Amino acid sequence: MNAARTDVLIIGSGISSLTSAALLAAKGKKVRVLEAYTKPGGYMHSFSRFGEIYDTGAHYTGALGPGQPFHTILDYLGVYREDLFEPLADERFDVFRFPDFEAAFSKGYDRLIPGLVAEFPHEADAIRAYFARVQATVKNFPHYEFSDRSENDIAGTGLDVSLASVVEPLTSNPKLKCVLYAYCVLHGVYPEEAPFGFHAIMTDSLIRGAYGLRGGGDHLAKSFVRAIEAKGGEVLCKKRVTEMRVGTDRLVKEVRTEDGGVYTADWVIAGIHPKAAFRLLRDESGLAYDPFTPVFRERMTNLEESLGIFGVYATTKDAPPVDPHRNFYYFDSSDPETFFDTLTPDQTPKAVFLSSANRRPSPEAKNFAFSLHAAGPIEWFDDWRGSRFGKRPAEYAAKKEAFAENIFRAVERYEPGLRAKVGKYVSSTPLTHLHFNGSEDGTSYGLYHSIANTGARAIGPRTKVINLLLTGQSTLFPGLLGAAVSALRTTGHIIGIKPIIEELRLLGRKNESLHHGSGNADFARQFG
Amino acid sequence: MNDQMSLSNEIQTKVNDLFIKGFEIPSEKLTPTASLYEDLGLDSLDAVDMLVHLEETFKIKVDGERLMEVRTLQNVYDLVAEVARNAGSETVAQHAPALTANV
Repeated sequence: MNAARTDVLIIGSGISSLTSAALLAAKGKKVRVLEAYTKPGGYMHSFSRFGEIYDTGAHYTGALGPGQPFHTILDYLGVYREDLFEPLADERFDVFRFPDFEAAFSKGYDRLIPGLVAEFPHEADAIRAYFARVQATVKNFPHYEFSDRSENDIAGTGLDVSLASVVEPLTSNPKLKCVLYAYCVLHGVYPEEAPFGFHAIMTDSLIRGAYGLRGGGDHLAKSFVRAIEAKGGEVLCKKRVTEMRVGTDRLVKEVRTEDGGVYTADWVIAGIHPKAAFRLLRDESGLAYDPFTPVFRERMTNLEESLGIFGVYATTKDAPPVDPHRNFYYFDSSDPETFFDTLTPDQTPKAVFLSSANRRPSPEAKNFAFSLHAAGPIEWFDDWRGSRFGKRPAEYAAKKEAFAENIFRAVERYEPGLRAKVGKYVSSTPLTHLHFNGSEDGTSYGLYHSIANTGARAIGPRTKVINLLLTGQSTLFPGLLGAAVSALRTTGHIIGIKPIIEELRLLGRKNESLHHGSGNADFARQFG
Repeated sequence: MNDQMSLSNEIQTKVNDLFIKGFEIPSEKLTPTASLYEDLGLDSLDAVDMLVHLEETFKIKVDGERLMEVRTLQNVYDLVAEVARNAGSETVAQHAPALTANV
C-alpha cells in the first residue's frame, strides 16, 4: 500500500488536515494522512483521568448552530453529528469576572446587546456600534459567509486594522473595553496588534452559536476519520514524517517517515507549523533543501509564536459549583492594558479560563470535572526541554504544581472554596503540547496572529515548493473554526474553491430553513 | 526640496538594498523601469515578503491591495514615498534600519 501513489498526502491530523482530507476525498481525490502520534486529532485530542474526559484544546467553539458556518462545513463533509456537541447556555454562556464588576455574553445579538446595555447603560451607542461593525465585517469573508467574493479582496475585512483602533474611538469606558477585549484570551494577541477582522469572526461565531464538545474532541476526530475512510481515504497513525524530498523542478517527489515508509503524491499538504514543515525539506540526495530568498528566511526567523498555555484538569468531590453550560473568564485586573501580561510562575496569572469538561453531567452528578487555562510560556519550563514525557524530573512536577496552585488562587478570588473541593488534578505545560502535537515552542495558537502575520501577509497556503501547500491555524486564524476554514483556502488551490463555496452556501441555507442541523447526508452526496 | 530629494534617494537606496540582499538580484538589473515579475523574477509570494519587509524597514503600513498596482521598481519607490509622506516622512529618516547583512 505504501508504494501506491495518492493524489494528496497530508502531514499531521489536526482539524485543518482532517478537513482538507475529508473535502478532497469527497471530491474524488485519493488522500492519505500521515500522523506522528498514536491517534489522530492534534489539538482535538481528549484524554481520560479520574473517570472523566478532558479536552486539550477543543474547549468550546462557535458558529455551530444550524445554518451557521462551522456547522455547515462539518455537515457538508459528512462529519457533523448532533451528539458530538452540546449547546452552551442561551443566557450568559461566557461570563467575564473582574475585581470590581462582572459582565457576560448571551447567545444571539438580540440577547447580547440588551444584556450589555443593561450593564453599561451609558455606553449603549458604543455597544451597538461595535457589534454592528462586527456583523458587517464578518460578511466580507467568503470562507465564513460563503459568498462569491474573492479571497484576495480584503476590503472591509478589517484585517488591516487593529481591534484597539476600532474600540478606542467608540468608548473610553475601561470596563466596557475589558469586556470587548476579553476574547483576546482566545487568541493571545494584544488589542493593539490583533486584526479586527479575525477578532470579529471569533466574536460573531461564539455569539451566534457557542457549543462545547460532548464526550471529548477525540469523537470529533473519529467522525472525520470515518468520513475520510468512507470516501476511500486513509488516516495512518504512528507515521512521523522525517523528510520531504524535493526535485530540481521544485516539486516534492517523496515523503519519508521514521519507520522507513516512502510516500508519493501529486500534492503535499502540511498541516503542521510552517517552520516545522520547512525543516523537513531535503533535496533528492537527502541534504537540507532551501528554496527560499534571504528576505523570506529573515521573516521566518523573526516571526513570533503565539502564547504557551498551562492547563489544569481537575475534578471536585461535590456537585458543580458553576453551570457546566457556561465558561468563566477570571481577570485579575480591570485595566485592559495589563490583563494579558504574562507574569512569572511564582505569581497568580492575569487571566484564567474555566470550562467544564463534561458539558452534560447527569442531574445526580456528585462531582464536577473542569479545566483551567492560563498563559504559561515554554521559557518557564526550558530547563526540562530535553527530558521525555512521563520521565521528567521531580523539579518539573514541583514547578507545575506551584503554578497550578497559583491558578487556583486566582480563581478562588471569585469561586471561594473551589480549591478545597478539588480531589485530584493533573496539569499540562507547553512541553506537554510539544510532545503530543509537535507545536512550535509548545504554543497553542501557532504563529502570533498580529496584523503583520495575517491576511495578505500570512504565511501560506502556497509555498516556494510548487506542490507543497500549508494549512492550519498559522496560515489563517486560530481555533477549531479558524483551522477548519484554513483548509478550505488550502484545498481550493487543488480543486478550486468557488463551486464548493456555492454548495456550502446552499447547504447552510437549507439547514437554516430546516432549523435542525443533522443528517443532510443526501444533500452532501448530491454535491459530493 | 532638498529634504524631498534626500528622502527619495534614501527610499531608492533601501529598496534596492532589499532587492540585492533580500532577493539576491544583481544590482545592474535594478533599473526604475524593470518589471518586478518579468525582469527581476519575483513571484506573488515574493511580493508579500517585499511588502512585509518594506513596512518594517520604513515603519509604514501599506494597504495589501495596493500590491496589485505595483509592476515596476519605480512603482515600488513611488508607493513607499507616497505612504511615507502621508504617514510623516520623519519616521523614515529616523527609524529605517539598513538591511542587515544576514538577511
